[in-house]
Amino acid sequence: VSTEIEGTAATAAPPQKFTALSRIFHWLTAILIFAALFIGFTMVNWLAGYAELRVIHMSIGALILLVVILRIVNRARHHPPAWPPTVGRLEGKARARSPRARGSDRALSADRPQSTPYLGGVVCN
Amino acid sequence: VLVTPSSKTPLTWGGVPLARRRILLGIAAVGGFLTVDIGAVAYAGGWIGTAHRLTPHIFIRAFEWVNGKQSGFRKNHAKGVAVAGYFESNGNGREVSSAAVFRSGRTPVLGRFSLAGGNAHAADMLSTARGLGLAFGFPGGAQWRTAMLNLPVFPDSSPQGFYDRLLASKPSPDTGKPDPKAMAAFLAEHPETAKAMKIIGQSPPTPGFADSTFRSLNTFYFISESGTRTPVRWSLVPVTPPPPRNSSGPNALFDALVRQIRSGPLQWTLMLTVGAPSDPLDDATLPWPADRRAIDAGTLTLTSIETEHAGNARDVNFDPLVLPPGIERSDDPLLSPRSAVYAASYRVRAREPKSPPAVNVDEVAL
Repeated sequence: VSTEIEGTAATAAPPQKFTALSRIFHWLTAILIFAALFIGFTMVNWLAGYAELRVIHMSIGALILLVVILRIVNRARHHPPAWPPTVGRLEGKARARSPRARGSDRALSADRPQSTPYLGGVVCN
Repeated sequence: VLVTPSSKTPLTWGGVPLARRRILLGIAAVGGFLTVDIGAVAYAGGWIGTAHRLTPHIFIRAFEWVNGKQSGFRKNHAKGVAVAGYFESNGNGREVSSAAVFRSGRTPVLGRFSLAGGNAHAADMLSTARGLGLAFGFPGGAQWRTAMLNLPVFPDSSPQGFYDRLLASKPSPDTGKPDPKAMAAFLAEHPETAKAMKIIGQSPPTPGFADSTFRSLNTFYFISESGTRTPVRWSLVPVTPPPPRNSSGPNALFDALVRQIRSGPLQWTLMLTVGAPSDPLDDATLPWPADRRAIDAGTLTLTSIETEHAGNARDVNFDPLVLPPGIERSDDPLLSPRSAVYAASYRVRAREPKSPPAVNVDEVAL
């Protein structure tokens, strides 16, 4: 394990911020998920709007699936930046499980295979 | 504790100094976001502000109030039996609709005969409305589902009317019949239902399911290959009804149906009645003129009948808005609520423990 730490330490410094595409994906997902949630709650409680909202709700769901697939592809191709220093202790524990921790805290994740994709990493990406 | 004016060393978090203004701003931002979001979700979810709002769940609760707990059964049309067969299209329906079901040939059909009302063990009565739910092309992708009744018109034109009638129809514990005063008050408030009831009364019910004509009641738009939108109400007219069977007891109507299907397939002709733009297109309580043209689109043949169980029509929601390309909904204000309440009923009964249905095909003697 120790040799691997030295090996990765020699690579280029982690990027300082997320790529523009990653940020677009992040906010697109946020908007879509909140819209789907809100429309879902509304449609099951609104008799007159149910039929139309269900079509919109299902379309958003299919769109979210598509965006998630694109995010996985994007995540595999771009290394995210290190966490900011304000990330707290509990979040630090969570980040140890995320492949993203490699940027700032290699010792915690050195025993993890480099290319393992985690859903958490994709969603928080 | 976080920041005190007297503290010599300013509090930091992860190396970033914390100021009171920043903390308050952060709390305000997060709190504001949560208030707006949770408030909106609570309103949309019906946890607040539902005092004068009809929601699907209020219908489910009303059915339970009228009929008592009916665990595992449909909340309306609770008593029923599953059937299967096929629809043989003659191709005539293509004139008005591009739906695959109207091309010449056979489409498998799964269905369910039922009696109106939420009591799964109610005794059969001639005056109870009879339902026929059909799913054409099940389990394919372009299904056509329909839930029809043996009535010339529907008693209600709005979800509020249906709800009020449901409450007024609660059987009184003394007589077993609806309170006449409540029903009179309801009819005074809903003249459209009083008018519809008069029309319904003019065509007394036939002796059984097999010789009943079932109608869509709501209007739908049929879209032809060239894109023409035609208002249509459809009906299933019995071809040659078998002789009525003498059956008695609480399941008399269903027992007769079981015996009839056992002795041979039952057939109905699917008639597509073409409406004129001046006809009532979004009011199911109003009939269309009797001289409207009807297209004979083919023959429905029902060949088998089964006790409801997992795998047959029991777990199918005959949602009137599951429509194939070529059929679209109209602006009838009943359609979206029907779809919503059927779905709510399905969600509720799917997680309730099941009990045996009243109609058991194997127990019907020849």
